[in-house]
Amino acid sequence: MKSLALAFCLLALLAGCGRRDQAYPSQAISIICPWAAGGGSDRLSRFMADQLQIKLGQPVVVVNKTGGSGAIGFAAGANAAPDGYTITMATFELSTMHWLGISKLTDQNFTPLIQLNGDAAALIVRKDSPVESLDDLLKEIRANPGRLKMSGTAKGAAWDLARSGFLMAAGLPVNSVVWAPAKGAAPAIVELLGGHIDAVCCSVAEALPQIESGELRVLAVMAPARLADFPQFPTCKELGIDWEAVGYRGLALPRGTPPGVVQILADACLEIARSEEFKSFMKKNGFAPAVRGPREFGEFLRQQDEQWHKVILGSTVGAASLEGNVKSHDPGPWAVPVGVGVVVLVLAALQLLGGHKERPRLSLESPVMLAAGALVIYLLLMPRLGFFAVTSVFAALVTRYLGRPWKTAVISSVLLLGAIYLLFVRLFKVPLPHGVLF
Amino acid sequence: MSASLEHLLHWNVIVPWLLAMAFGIFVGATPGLTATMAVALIVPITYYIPDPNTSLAMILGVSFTAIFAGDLPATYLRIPGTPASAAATLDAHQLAKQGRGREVVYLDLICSAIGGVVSVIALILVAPQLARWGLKFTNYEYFWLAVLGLSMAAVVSLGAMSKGFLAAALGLLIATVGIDTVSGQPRFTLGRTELLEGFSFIPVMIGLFGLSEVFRNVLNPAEFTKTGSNAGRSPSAVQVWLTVWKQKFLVLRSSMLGTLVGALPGAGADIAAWASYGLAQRTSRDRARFGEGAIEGVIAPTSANNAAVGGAWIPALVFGIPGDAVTAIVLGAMIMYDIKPGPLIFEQHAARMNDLFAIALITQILLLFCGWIGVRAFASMLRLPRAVVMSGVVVFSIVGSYAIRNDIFDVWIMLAFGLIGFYLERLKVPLPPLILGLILGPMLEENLRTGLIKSGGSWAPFFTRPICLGLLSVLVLAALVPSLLQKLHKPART
Repeated sequence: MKSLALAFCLLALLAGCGRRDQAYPSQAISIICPWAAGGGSDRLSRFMADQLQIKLGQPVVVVNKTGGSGAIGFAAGANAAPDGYTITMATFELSTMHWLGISKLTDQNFTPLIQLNGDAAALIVRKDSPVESLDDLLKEIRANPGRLKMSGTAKGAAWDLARSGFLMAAGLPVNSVVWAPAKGAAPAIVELLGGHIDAVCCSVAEALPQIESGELRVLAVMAPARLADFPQFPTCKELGIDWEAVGYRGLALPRGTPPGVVQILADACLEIARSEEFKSFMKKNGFAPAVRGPREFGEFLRQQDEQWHKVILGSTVGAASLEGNVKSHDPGPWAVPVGVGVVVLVLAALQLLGGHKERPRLSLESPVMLAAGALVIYLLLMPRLGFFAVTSVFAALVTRYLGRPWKTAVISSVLLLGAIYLLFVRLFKVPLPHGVLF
Repeated sequence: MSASLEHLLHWNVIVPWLLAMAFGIFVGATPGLTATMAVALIVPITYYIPDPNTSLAMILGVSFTAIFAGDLPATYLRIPGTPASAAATLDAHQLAKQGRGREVVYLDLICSAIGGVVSVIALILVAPQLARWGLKFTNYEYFWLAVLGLSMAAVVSLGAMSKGFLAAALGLLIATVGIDTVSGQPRFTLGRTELLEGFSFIPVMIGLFGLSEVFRNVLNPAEFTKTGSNAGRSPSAVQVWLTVWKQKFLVLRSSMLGTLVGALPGAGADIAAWASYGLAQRTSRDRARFGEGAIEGVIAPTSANNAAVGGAWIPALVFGIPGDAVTAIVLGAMIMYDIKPGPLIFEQHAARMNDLFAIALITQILLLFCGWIGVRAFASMLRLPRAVVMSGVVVFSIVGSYAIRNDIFDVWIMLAFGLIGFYLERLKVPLPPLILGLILGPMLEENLRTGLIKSGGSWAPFFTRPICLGLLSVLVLAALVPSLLQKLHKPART
């Protein structure tokens, strides 16, 4: 036991002297991606991580912190120490989520670093649609408000707001088109192909296979100018509707990062953005490059924040002022929870009242409460002291409690944690919590 | 085709292919490591391999092994790695407890391979037609599909039907936590950003099944040392194949159902597994054994979930639209290797498509070999003292819940659901219907409400569209068939 305790102390010491004060960067950098592995934002994060690693000579790891339409990843990124070792993949939602009441964070919680791409929204219909042009679309909406059905994302997400802003710019109420919420552009395109909706609002890249094969047609793009790769598609602006909607991605640092550090990172990022690798990566993935340095990206973020505030304000106020002539037929967010809740209560009451002969009795079962209590203490200590230190002790205690000798308990715990270290930390680069110990 | 076969069966291709699949099995069988991670990690490795067919073989190999591998911890430890493996925590786990674990996973392996082959054949022969058929489905049809899935709650409630429905309703209620995608409003989030996307599925499953099992063991240490290591004795290969042969119609039927469900852009391997389990139970002569260790309860979902993986490739290749994260990564890799999935794929890439089909078919055969090694390795770990295995389960439950999105909050969720699962089972409330409600809740609600938005508030499309009527009649039949069968069989038995 003594030698084991000694070993733990040594390990803790080794882990403790990890951080040194040296010229930036002197240790591993992480990029927080608020979206899941495999998606567009994740691919871009991983590409930038690989390139930055080459430029800066330190490991750069991508950490996927997903959930809450990006809110969780943004919160983790904004609250990180402003030392340049935590970078955040900033996406479109940063400009909208605080206006939607999902989060309190805005672009003001970040120091902008670089904008990488900007994919304009497009209005897309099927090849056999009677709507031939943007003008046709607007005429149809004016003639029959509430008849056309569109989709592209969930309610309040990027492409829904893009089409809301478009309708407002065209002087039409936002619910003169029915928005059928979808999980994303992909299922919405399937709906469009099946003829269940009339148009989709998403980026050209997302519908590229269908556009190239001629099954879908682009009416207009909501870009500031014609797209470099698709000059054949007109912009809304040139068709007389002053409206732009661009889904952007870029990198940002926590607010208060020292200017020297920002400069080093910005120079590295701009150099990457000028490289051939960057251009071919963006082309292969269908992202439209839109590169802006720290200052311009900051100005762009401010302008976006203002633009989407107007749209979100307009779409809620506009919907209410329509006096119910095109009202939504959604039973509302509370219909299902309330209905199911009543069912649960009725069924539970039947269980309690029903005269079952052998009704199972519920007791607290003290060994289980003990085990749960141990887990609670473990979970409180682990983020503060570090995953490996606390978990190795915990695993050994569990094995001992279940009746194995201390020797087995300690050896198996060390082997188990060693395996987890190699697998999760080394191979999969999952950053397990490290506190003051290891 | 023969030239490409010769090329594919060369050692230069087979060895990295097998290694990649072994890697896929290893990752898929580790709780907390997902198929998405495995595929995301293998793609950059393939950049160093000069031959594009070898690269594609490695990537497809990994993506096809993950679902089978996820059944391993579900069977032995009751920790399902993916929603698609949740059905394996029923009969497969019961059989493993009875010491027949080894037999069950071999059966699972063979059924997975057959399911895979059936779906690939469908992909080769009728992909464009099936994809077009899938386009007919919209919110109204998906709503009934979800109802059909939920009706399986009656099947998996293991006795007390009313408690099964209670559990399913609880699952539905839990599923409503988070941002409502139809209105964009947060529900029951208590102001916590972590809850905006609802409860993550994996921590809830690990808690309800894995951790609650640990609690049961803590309560009853005497009982669990008695069962000892239950990796199961090794059955002869002939014996397992014979079982499959006896159930050949069930295997084929489940595989075809899995392919059909998988080919729908709005449904996946999880609902395929449940639907096929329910169908097998409804048409079985011996329904009572389901849930307590019926071989059919292993065969049906495991054939269907792997078939659904192949089925999901049908819309992905034909439309170039990925249905989930794994497919998205593989599609991305295909584009890197100059295959552009989409409506033109069969015209522009006919030769490459043949290679792809050959790769997908051979992968199923290689799966038998890799899976066999994986099963042996996994089972040998279970020969460790039970106390060591249990503390391993606890640690992997913690790491697994954390690693899903690198958030300690999810470990708390796992702990909470561990307690909920433990006490619900003490109250004899079955857990499988709860999982069913949790999986199908969002599908049910979103499709119902989006359907109503589209129809302008009218319920008519739900009851008048042809496929809706078909699904409705299946629902009615599923409720009636068992009693009819009983009447038919009764005279024969007495």
